[in-house]
Amino acid sequence: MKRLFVRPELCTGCKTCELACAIEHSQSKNFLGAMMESSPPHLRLYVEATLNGHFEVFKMPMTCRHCDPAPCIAACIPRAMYRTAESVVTNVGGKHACIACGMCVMMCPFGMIARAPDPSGKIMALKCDLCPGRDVPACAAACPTGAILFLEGDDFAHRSRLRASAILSQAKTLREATMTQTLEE
Amino acid sequence: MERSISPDSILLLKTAQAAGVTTTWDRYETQLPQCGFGETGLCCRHCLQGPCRIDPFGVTGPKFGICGASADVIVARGLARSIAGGTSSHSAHAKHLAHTLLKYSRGEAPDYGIKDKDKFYAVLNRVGIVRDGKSDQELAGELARLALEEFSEREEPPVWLKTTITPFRMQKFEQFGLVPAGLDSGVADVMHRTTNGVDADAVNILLGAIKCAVGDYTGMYLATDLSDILFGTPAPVMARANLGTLKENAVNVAVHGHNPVLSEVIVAQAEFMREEAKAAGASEGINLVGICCTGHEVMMRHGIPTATNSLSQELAILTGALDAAVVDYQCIMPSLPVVASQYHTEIITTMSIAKISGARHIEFDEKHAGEKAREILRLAIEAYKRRDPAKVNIPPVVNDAMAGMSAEAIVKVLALVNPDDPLKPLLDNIVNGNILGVCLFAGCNDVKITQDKTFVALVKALAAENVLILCTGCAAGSFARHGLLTPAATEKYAGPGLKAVLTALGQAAGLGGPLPLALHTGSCVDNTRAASIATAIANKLGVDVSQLPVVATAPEAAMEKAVSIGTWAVAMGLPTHVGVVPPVTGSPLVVQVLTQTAKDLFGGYFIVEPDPQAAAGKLVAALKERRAALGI
Repeated sequence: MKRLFVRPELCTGCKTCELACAIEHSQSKNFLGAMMESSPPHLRLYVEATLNGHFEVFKMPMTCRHCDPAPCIAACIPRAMYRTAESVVTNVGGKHACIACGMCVMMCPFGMIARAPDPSGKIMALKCDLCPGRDVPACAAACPTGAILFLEGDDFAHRSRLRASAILSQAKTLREATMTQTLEE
Repeated sequence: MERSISPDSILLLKTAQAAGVTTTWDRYETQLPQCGFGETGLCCRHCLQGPCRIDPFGVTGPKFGICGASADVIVARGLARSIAGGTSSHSAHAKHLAHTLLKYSRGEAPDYGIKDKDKFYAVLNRVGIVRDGKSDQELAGELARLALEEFSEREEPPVWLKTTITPFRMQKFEQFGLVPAGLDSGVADVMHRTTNGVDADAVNILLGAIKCAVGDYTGMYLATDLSDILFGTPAPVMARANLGTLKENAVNVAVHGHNPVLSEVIVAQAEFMREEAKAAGASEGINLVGICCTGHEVMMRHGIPTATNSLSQELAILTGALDAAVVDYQCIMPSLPVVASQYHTEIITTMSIAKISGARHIEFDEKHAGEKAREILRLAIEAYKRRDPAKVNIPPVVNDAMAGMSAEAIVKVLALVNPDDPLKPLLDNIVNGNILGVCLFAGCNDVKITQDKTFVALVKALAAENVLILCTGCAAGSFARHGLLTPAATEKYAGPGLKAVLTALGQAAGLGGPLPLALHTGSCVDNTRAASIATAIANKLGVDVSQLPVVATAPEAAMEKAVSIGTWAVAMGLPTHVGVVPPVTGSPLVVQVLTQTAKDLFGGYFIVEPDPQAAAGKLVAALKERRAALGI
């Protein structure tokens, strides 16, 4: 089950992912068309910044984690929010309709759900659907620095392990030098 | 992050929050996070095939633009264009003054004249115009035409360049091909060579940008000369600062922008409109205040208070007591009419090239200057009648501020100590170490930095190290609003050597105390006043400016104009500190040229350091390095 993963150290905060997300969730699915639609497309991931002191800004695209169990599904009284066979948490294409009550908005610990008009103009809870019909979600495909990845969970962890291991290999050299010194003493 | 340390700004930011008024600080937050490609200078939009972006991490993204431009080339091109933007701003300001002088000479500007004949004749002499029994009006025409020729292409180097810098510097500029054929062609040259398919050597592009900035210096020098001729050379004047200078019982009019051409006439006409204002119920008549550099122009020449800096211009409206803001150009926020829509304030634009949707436009021209000024002031009086007393909220913050320390004024003060050789007392005190060196504070406030925080911390740190402080523009405004342009600040913050010198000069000038901690040398276009003092000292010693213990800083720089000023300061040989990281970090080569290679070429170089204490350390080290090289 592939998921979106983020390497925040590669995020420049350019918001290309936000733009791609909004276009993907428009009716026309192209930039010019999306700008002219009567109900402007709403993005479903958000690049947020944290000021650190005066200058350093921590930037990171926040994406739905498709939690399991998901607080938004648990909070959905009309049972519109559900989990698909592909384990995507969504309120589109299910048995029940979203009534835009906003309970899921309140329950999502990451703030990944917005109560806003969908492309047809109907107010509802809008969230990431991992772009059904695409091999790679629009955000990950658009990211110019490769900060957003669409991977199996263990692939991401494996990459992190490899990086950590590369760093530790330098530490190993230092440790060996120190240990040799200690032993000599 | 705190938004400001200026007490009046702090109070009015609370008002803004309570009233739900959006200010520049709020808009900054809505922009976060800002695009990293723009921040690093790695975004290029110079052709229709773009935008192109270079991956700053070099992991998976592109290393070249569509045309093949590298990160170095894209960063250098972007920086060059911002220098061209800054240069064209100062040049437009200078040309405006030259046209005013020309109109005066033709008898088409009845509200203008030659206010400072001494300076007029001194400038004529410097630029080589022979008086030959001609009338002032004829000579003004000759001077204006010569000034306007500076902007087109001539066979000779610009007059305002070659007659105002040391011979060493001129030789260096000629050697590196950095003398622009004309000031406007310096700008056009940058636009040409940075367009698709022209200059693709980052270092060569930077040299073109420096040539443009040398033109920026020249235009600024010219602008200051013409302003002084038309409106008088500033002399020491006591004024006041902060938004507390707005008066509850007066028609408050802010002049805002940069060029004194309009504001001088407003000042003159306000005298005649006093009774009209009183008849409208304003018992204290008309109260003019300044915002940004137009404010500094009238502060230096007339003691008009400086209400606030450019960054906090919206807050003036939030006092509920600003009846009109009359603006010319540069640093005027397009948001002013939006903020004013919740109050009674009239926002009046006056220049054909600088209109703002939602503002009232009264086209200014020199022929009808007085009439237009009266029309503007009448609008302010009408607005005063609509003022809502319930919304009046003037922060009780006022500081004294001494202004008007032009180069001529500084020399006059020095002449009181040594009439035969005015520069000698200054030189002696630099040599004996009472004064470690000189630092020019310039530049803007920047929304990315707590307003005034770096300015105030840095000036205190440098003054404690006995650095003589000159300041212009928003740096001067910042110091004024924190009570640092006062003798009391000298007593409190100056190191012992600096205090002794400022006290001796203050006593000689009859102040009964020291000169202020920082000498208010002018508006931001007046940075060449400080340069002229450095050049005079260098010429007297037979050395180059690049050898003198003189540095510059723009700790809170924001505008393209600050980039062009910083660049010519480096080209003139000054170590130049910037407290905001400019959009060049995407190119290690450009960073290296600006911060290291420049030192070998020009003596001057950029020091980028956001922390004020660390910046003070680096500037003091630069001054000491220069002193050591001179053997003092």
